[in-house]
Amino acid sequence: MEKKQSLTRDREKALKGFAMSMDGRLLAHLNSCVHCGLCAESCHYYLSTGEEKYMPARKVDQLARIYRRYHTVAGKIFPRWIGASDFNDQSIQEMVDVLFGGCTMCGRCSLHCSIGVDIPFLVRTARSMLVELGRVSPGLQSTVDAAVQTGNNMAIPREELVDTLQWLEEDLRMEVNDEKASIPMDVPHCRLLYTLNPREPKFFPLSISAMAKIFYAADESWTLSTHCYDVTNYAYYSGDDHTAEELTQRLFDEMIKLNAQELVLAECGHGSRAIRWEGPRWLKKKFPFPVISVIELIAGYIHSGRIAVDPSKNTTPVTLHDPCNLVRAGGVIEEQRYVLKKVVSDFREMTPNRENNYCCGGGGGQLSMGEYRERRVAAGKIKADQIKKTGAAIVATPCHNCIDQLMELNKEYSLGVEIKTVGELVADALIL
Amino acid sequence: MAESMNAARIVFLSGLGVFLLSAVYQWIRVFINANTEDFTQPKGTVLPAFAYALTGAMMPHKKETAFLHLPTYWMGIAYHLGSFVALAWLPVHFFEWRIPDSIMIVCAAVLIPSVFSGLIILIKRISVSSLRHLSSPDDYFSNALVTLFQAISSMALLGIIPVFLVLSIGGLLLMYIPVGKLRHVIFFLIARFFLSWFYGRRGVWPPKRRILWKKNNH
Repeated sequence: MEKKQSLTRDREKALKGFAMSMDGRLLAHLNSCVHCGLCAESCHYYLSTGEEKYMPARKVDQLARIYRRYHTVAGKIFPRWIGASDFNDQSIQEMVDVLFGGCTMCGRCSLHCSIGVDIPFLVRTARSMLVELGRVSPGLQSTVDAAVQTGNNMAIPREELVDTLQWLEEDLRMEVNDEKASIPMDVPHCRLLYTLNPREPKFFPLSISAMAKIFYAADESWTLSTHCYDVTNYAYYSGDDHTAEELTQRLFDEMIKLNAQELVLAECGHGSRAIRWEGPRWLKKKFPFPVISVIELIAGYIHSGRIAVDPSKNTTPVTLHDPCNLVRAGGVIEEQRYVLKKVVSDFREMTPNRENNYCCGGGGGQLSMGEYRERRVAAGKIKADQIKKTGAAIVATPCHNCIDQLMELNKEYSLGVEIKTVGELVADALIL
Repeated sequence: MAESMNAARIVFLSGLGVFLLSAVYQWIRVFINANTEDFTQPKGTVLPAFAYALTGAMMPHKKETAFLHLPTYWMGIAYHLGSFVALAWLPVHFFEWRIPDSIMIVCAAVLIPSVFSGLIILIKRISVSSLRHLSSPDDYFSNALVTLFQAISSMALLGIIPVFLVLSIGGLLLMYIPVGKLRHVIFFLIARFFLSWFYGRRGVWPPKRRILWKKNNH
């Protein structure tokens, strides 16, 4: 039996947490990879760089080798034979480098895995172990901390948000020429509570205006909360379940406090996933209200005739980038296509698309991890090439994280395109 | 010869016992800890997704890992088919049932391309840098062991070598399954089920290419 290296207290704690999280799903995925390596070409990091460390199967092994060492008989007796490894400085450093710095948890590899190994699930489990060691990338951790401490990940003071919303409201009134047009704040008993990505009030207020205009056209009963509105949950990316639960609970409590009927998630891929699909697991309860993406809401408005749109108002060729967390991991696949086909006259699909689409490179918390910027931009080349091939002049995407990455790719690869939210295109096509 | 056969039977039974005990233990572990309580508001259902996971999602035109690597995909299919055929013959050899020659020849014919597939997959693992990077000794050994088992099975079916060798190697193979990556035999369907749970509840699998308006209509 090969003797295990001694463990520090925090490593013991991380391994204990790993053991505690080992449910049937984790066991199945940890034991299934056959190292066929066919997943390599599904990963935008591997495709862009050709570096073997980015092969998804290698990422699986970052965690599986620890599992084999501490949880299998063979791994305890002859670890080298089955590729088991101690939880030591080297394995931890490799985990940090590849699982934080070389993976967006986009899940494209899992979709095409010969076996069906849920690779982002394993990557996130490994990230959770790194949380215990305090090895989360500083940029990502500070984003999580800002959300916990200030209520939003960009640390926007409430007064600043209110000011922004007030001037946006004035603009809306002028645009629609109606003094009654509004951006409601903290109004109880509305039908919808609408969330925001803090990037919107900070950098992209026009996307808030666009949604306000759509709600106005639909004569919707809606409100924003100025206390708790952040749709993002970067603790999902860092692997910190405890904090992820806390952030979800705040939004849940705000819904109850304002007594809204439906929670509408802004155009944010990971936020939509975190709240709708992971949130109930973190809170260990069903939400007593429906949770939907704003894209589903807009599609419903158009389908039911609640808003009227004219595609001839958007004649520039438009393509669509599918955010991984909204599409592949969220099932909002056709709605944005339905909407775009109604509001633009020249819609062009990327290839591949829908659940097979490539990640833009901005997911997994990468945008907040400055130390991996070069890799992130290099990994985005696949997306840049996809965009170029469409010949479109506008890239629409229902995700503010993706928008940031696409804007950077736009500059880096000289794409010469405009990046917009779906809501902005809808607002431009509205018939009022 | 009778003594060799009896010894081979003991090896086979031991291997079968180890495999079954391990498989049952792992399945019980998974089911006890299945944690399938799901509080999300579903956008789809799991069973159609599971059916799709085992059919449409495995087809080469749907699976990128298949259509980008078609020769490997088909070799993989042949290799697995050969493994199942060779394993199915173990009880026949054990009980010395008499099977028509024609069936034996057909099975041997299935095993020959399977053995070649196994060899090519092994050579690929040795020669391709990215696969070497992924591999531990177990990866090579598992591949070699299964290929050897298939080769011996086919030779036994053609009457070239005695069946006690097949039973012995088969027993050793069964014994080794829980040790290394061959344990995917035990977990494959479960992993695929959990992935189907994920994609099924979220409405990703099976692909619909349409919107269910009743749920989304506003």
